[in-house]
Amino acid sequence: MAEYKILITGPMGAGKSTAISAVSEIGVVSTDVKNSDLAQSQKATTTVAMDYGQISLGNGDQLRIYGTPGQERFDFMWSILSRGALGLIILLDSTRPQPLADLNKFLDGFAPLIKETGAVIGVSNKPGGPSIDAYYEVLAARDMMLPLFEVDVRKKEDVLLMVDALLSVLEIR
Amino acid sequence: MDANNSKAIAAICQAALDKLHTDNTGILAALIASADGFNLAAIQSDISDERLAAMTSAMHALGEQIVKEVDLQKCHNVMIEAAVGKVLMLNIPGSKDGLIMTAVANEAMVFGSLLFACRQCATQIGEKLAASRL
Amino acid sequence: MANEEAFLVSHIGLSSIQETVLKSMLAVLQGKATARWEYSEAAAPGVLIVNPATPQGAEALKNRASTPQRIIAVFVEDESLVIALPPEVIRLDAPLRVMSTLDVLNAAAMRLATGSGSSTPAIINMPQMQMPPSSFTLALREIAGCSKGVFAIKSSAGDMYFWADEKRVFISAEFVDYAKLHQLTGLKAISVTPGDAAIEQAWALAKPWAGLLWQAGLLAGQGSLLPWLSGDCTYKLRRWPDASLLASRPAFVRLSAHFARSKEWVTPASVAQTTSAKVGDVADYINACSLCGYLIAGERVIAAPPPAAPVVSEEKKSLFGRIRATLGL
Repeated sequence: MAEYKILITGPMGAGKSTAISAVSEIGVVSTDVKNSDLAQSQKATTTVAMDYGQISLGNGDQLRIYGTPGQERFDFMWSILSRGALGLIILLDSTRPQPLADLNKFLDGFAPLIKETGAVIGVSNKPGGPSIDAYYEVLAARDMMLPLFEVDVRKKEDVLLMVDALLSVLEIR
Repeated sequence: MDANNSKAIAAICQAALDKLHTDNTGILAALIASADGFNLAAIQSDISDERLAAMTSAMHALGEQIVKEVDLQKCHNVMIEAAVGKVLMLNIPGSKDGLIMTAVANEAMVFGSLLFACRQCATQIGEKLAASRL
Repeated sequence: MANEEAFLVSHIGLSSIQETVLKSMLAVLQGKATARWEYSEAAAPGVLIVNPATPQGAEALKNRASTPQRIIAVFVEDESLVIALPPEVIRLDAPLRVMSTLDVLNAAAMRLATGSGSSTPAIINMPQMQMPPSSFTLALREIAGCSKGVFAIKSSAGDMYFWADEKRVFISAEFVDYAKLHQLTGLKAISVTPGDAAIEQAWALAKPWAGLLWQAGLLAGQGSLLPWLSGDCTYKLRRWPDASLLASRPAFVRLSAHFARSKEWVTPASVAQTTSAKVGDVADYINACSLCGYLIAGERVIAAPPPAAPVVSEEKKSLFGRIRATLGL
């Protein structure tokens, strides 16, 4: 009985829990508590440990999907949750004040995992915010090429496309 | 928590923690964390309060999930026994904002004493917060 | 290019006389071949000569995928077997002769040295368009190559306005029939002066032009590469196509992964070979990427073995296959 893991990260409000529930066959297990930092985000709750979803692959094998907390003060959870992950999905919220800085922050925070495996980036497709080319410039400045898409994580097909892109990239490493 | 309230809450917590520290030499560090991992008050120590506060909220949240999973209703505290000491994380009873207290004790302090002292401290904080309607 | 370490060669299905001939030939070729070769029965050989006319030889040929790092040379005594030879094996005609054996060993040594093993099949010929591209394709290419200005393409199938600064397009027709547009002749990109009331109205309804360029690009070559693209040229994506463009074509997600590797350059021919995608689909995909401006061109690769195909472990293949199957991908 084998277990495999994919990690989803990104700043608060980017839609990590939503993305997991789009594909998980169980209800998402979450560790959400009341958000006291309304300056950061208007969201009522925030994840402090992890979100968890899973998909059965047959043969008793499980694909586990973990969502990390978004704030940097929980970066000890980033390294705990990274262990043994097949790959990473970074979700970004283009309506936040500095989405490109957010991208840099998560590329830094998960650098070892990305180097060893791979990552896909999903940017919320709300109007305003930097162009897709601007995000790719951030990657180019780091000599990286990763799949980066505008997505709506409420749509299952968008989440599945990101998973498919991640698997495709991991396959030919 | 608005700005004025949080100052008042922090003051109450700080006073209680200072007393805890004075009365118990075995306690190496203690802090009060918000449910979402911010540090509200702490005893002076070498330990990073910011990180420990975040870890407190994560640990407590996981404790809640486990308790829910095994149908034991509510998580009151989480105890960690380590090689050269112990850590206790417990709820502040009656706290509207779900505040959590963490105390780190040395080897010499037995768990029973730690639990007793921290429960007393937490109860006092809870009562003072209720009295001030915080 | 002589290696210090010898490559090993063995056989299945040669007669004892042929085996003796092979061994003496290896002795004769010492110092003449580009690498050192040794006959070995025990260890796993780099080259295995199989005689498919024998049951064991046929079996070994059939199961060659289980040892992808080993090169199979098929000993051909019977011409009628030649039709059925898979492209990645080397042919060795009977009777064993020094020069043909030398050629086979040198070719094998090159593959083994580059680590590509038998997973480097013969180069596929990517079909190239025989007819010139449609006027629609050429007009779109011209517009997509501009970074500023407003343009129009007018036709019986509807008018289109393009804003190159913002990469947006307005189409007056309710339904865009790209196939029909490709069939129309005489379509041209016309430069337009902005400020016209009709154009201002059109701008309000404009949307990103990637969708149009992509769909038009997919149909531009009908399974063959556009004239300015080559199956033997290396390309890289400078960015992945939009999610909406990849959504209905999972094969294009795999192709994108191959062309979007930051350190490696690949040719359309080698990708067509490596993936299970149809050659025509690879051509259409590259055409669409080209029109959308996603492609960066590298160098022409002439008469060299294609870049080594990444060998996907069986474990990974199975795991990812199951994940995809469960998610319905």
